[in-house]
Amino acid sequence: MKYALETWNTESMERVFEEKARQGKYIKSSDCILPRYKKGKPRDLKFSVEYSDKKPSKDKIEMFDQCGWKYVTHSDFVTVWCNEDKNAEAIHTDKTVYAQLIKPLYLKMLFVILFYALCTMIFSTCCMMVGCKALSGLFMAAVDNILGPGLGFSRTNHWLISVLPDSSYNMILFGVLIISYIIVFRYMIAFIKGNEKMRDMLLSVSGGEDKVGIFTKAAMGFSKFFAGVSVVFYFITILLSFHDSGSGELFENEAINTYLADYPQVINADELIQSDEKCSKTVFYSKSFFGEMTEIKEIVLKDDVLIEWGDKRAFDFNSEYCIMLTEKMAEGIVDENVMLYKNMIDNGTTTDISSDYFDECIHTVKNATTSSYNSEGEEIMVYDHLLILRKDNYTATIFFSDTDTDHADYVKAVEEKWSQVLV
Amino acid sequence: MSYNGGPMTEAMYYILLALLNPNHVYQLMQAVGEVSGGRVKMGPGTLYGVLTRMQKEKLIIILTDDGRRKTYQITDDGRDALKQEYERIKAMVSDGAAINDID
Repeated sequence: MKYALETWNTESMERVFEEKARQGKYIKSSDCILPRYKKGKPRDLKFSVEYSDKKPSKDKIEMFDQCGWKYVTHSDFVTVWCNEDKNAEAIHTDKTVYAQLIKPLYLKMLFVILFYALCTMIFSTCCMMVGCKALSGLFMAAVDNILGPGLGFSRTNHWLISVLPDSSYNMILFGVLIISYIIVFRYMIAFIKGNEKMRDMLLSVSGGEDKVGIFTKAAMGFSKFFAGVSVVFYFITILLSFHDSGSGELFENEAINTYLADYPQVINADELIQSDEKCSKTVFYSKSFFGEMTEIKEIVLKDDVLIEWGDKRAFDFNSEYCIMLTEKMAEGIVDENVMLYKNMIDNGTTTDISSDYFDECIHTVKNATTSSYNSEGEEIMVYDHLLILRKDNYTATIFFSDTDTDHADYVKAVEEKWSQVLV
Repeated sequence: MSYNGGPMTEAMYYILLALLNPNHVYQLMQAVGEVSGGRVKMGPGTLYGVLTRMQKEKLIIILTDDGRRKTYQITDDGRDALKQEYERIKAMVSDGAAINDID
């Protein structure tokens, strides 16, 4: 990184500009991320970079011009000057005066750092909390597509639907996300370092006495903390994207129907799961707006016989998907020991407790006999937060967790209704 | 904003001294070198910073401005401040004369 600009290091910038000028490249914009140069004849010039928060006034440019210093450019918090005389006097010859000039800039830069630190933190938090799922899909769909399905996560032996068009788009989007993060972060680091250098300068002038106040110290501390947190958040996001990865078929009702039609024989998987016998799994995904794939179903096969299918995600019991599932049960396609989970609390997806289905369950429990079977022949089991209705060919489970504080109100509402049932 | 006393920076002192005769910027840089016997070098950044500050404090004024060059001149307040600083430095030198007796 011989020619990388370090905004905080004015001496280093001067050296880079002088070296470039000797190669016939003249600095046009001193932006610390993307410095731009214009071509010309190689010359031996002297450059001077001064801290300054504003573009120099006409007066200042004229005054400097009279002293041989030509204005080159201003960006971020620095102004670049150039002199044809290699032995010209430095722009700032009095450290105390320079320190007085940069003191307001030092404070201003402090707020910029805080702003960038907050932006970085919010950005990385958004990535983690909101964009995590999207990111996981963006990343893994792309990797899967380039290197083949199930890269390192081989749990599938079917690859029904190509995701090529999406993953190409996703790769670009993912790259843009990373680049934008690096840019924001690099700006922040540059400003923090620049601010520290100014602080050193102010302290050296004041003989080590901290005249810049405890506020600035605290603000710098916060900035560094935010910067650190944002990095951690961002990498957690990346790690989570791996955690949630997998590969398999994209979910479509028709695709599953076709798939299941090949395996009308459904056997009890419970024992096999406990055994060492090798089973293969096919994972179905739903595809969201962002094109990411979210695992929703897992189907276990042994010797081409469907032995289990499980729902990996919550879904609304009244949804089309659930209706489809119920229909399949009614048709007898999935008619033996298929566990049907109605996970009411998962990733914020809940079933309305005022729904007909819930009332039906409540009604069933209310009418249950002491033998734990209702008039429909359903076996009823009630645990702390679990209601299970079981018959020969299916098991319906309603589950809610009291440990999920995010859904405390919901749990409370269910418990209230529950207590009415149990009375 | 007027000058509120207190010790001046070296740059400020020598610029005021050099402005006892009206000067424009380039001349001023040379004049500072001359009055300090070549000891003090003045860069344009320092000069601009000090001139701007002293103008605000009404220690100097712009005598002429032809659009390209400005000529600066010290004001009465500037003279008083310079005199005050001179007396302060003189007193300091006088107080420090005892250092010669150490050897």
